[in-house]
Amino acid sequence: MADLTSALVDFCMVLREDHGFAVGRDTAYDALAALERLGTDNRARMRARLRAIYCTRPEQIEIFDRLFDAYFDSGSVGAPQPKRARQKRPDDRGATPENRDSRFQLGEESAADSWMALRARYSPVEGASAPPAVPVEGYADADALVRRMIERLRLGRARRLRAAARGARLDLRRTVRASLQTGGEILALKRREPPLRNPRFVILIDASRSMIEHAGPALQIAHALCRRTRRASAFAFSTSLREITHELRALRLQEGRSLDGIGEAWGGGTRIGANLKAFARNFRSKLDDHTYVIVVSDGLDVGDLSDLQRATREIARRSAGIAWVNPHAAEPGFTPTAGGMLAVLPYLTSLTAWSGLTDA
Amino acid sequence: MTADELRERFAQHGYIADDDVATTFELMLALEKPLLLEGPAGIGKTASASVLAAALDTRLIRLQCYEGLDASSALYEWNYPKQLLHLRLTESDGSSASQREAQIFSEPYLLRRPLLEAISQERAPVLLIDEIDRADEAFEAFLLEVLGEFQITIPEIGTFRAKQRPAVIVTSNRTRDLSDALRRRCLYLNLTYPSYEREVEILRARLPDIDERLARQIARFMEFLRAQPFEKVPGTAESLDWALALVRLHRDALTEATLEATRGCVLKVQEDWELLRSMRARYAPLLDRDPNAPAERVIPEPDYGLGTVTTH
Repeated sequence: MADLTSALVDFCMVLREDHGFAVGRDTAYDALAALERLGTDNRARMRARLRAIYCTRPEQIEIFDRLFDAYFDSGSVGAPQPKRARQKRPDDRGATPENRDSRFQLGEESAADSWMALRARYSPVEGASAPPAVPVEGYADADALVRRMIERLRLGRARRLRAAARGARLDLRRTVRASLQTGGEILALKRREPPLRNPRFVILIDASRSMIEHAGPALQIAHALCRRTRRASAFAFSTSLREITHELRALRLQEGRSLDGIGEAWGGGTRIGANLKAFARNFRSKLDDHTYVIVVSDGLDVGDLSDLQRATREIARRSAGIAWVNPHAAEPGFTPTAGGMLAVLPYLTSLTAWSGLTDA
Repeated sequence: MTADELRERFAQHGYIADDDVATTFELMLALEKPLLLEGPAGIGKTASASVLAAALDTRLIRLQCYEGLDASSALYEWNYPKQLLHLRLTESDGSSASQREAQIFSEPYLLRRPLLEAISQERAPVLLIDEIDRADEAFEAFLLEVLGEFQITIPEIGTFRAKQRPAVIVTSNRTRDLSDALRRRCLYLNLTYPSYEREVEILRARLPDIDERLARQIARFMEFLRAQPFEKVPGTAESLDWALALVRLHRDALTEATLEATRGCVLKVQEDWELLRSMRARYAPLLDRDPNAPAERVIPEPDYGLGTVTTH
């Protein structure tokens, strides 16, 4: 049991440090309490218990299960034994990919699971570019545009009621309270009203090769949005989709600073439909009727247009609206004739260039 | 109660729980921690809470979340008409303002809402906080306090502390991302669609009269449907509805005509039905031939305006 406890503590550290699980002291205590109270004689049940304690999101379950198998013997009967006693792990802070224990590097390969991804990785035409930087020049204009957009966007009123001097609904609680000051006589009616909705934003940046030259303004807008409000999420997509919200928030605006580790989400092939589909399926919780979605893309999709159409319809259905920013829309005489643009047009709130975003 | 006992009791109430589900419920009861159940709609999250209450022979208290739900609707409310009436009746009885205030803000004037009700029970109930993702973040933050301490303070009366900690089940369909703080305070179970064998078992448990072949056909067809990119993927609730409809209609096999007639039980979005129709070649092998259908499909041949029509 002592060996098992040590392994469990080590297991906690790997979950937290290598895989970003929110494992604190309370969680570790719960895990030990579960082992003590419910026993360790059945490996499958011990795994189910620890999974319920350590995992907080569905995407963590696969990582947890693989790591559990790496840590604890796979005999199906009897007490699970740690595969290794607690030992000094390589110092993760200074670790390079080579000197880290390869058993614990999970999930990296899962991003490149499709033939398209593999083709793009090895194709000289569609290979990933250098990590992008947020240009400093013109940033003030982008920031002002974002500020105006946040100020002007109105998504109607929420359902929750708040105290308001001229609200339409009666606030009986406050009315009765106030009446006590006048011997129970109601002299003034207190009122409530629903407040304005506080909008959220999701920005999806097409970072395929055809869009790379327009990526600077898109990153400026995304950066300004993520820095100005906590209610914003940013994604980049090319061969694959990746959330870049945290990277953008952490990035200090300075010449030469770039978004490292963005991988195949930048400068690869064009798969708008597949990526929007992945977004609609995997990040559904980012969407609700308070959320305004901004897609930055030229709509030049080489994939299946029915995927693109279905994904856009799904996003439109689950959000407050979609503003599609097409950099070519600023050109005189622009008409959306690309197949991708025609497929999504019925589901857009607006199709615009950057300058029209605040009118959306 | 052990996982095996829970499984058995769940089965007695028509809920087929796999070992992971039973083990997680056992853990929830052992650690007295809330359980966050996530998964698509219609997969048995709410049902699991009512079955747990039945298995523990205790009361189920349900708080249905919705947009705009606030603390007063979840905790307690004062009975305002009764308070106003009392104020009117005691206008001339000589009591002071503070006495009257103390009277109207006391327990007889308190309307207990689900959270306070759950905390006040002598015997630990099952508290179901259903579809928490429909409530807003402010309510979620408020809920954290209640789930952390299991006590509620009413300024006019005092603090209510749970005599017995309720077994709390929080469900979410993931229409909104829940905060990390709430997730950290809960145990976690992600419910997914049942496997083919599990679905057959569920159908037989809930509808003992169902024909074995029909149950297998439905389960196989649902497995096919769930692999498609539908807007509204059917869950277990839909397969049970569908099976019940077919049993009531005295159908013992799934045919093209039956599918057409009862599709509303399974597919709730017109675009999904159109998408399914476009896949006829793929799902046809899962259906029986309709015994009343003609032996060969008759296709009218165009007459090109010549006035003769032949068929083959």
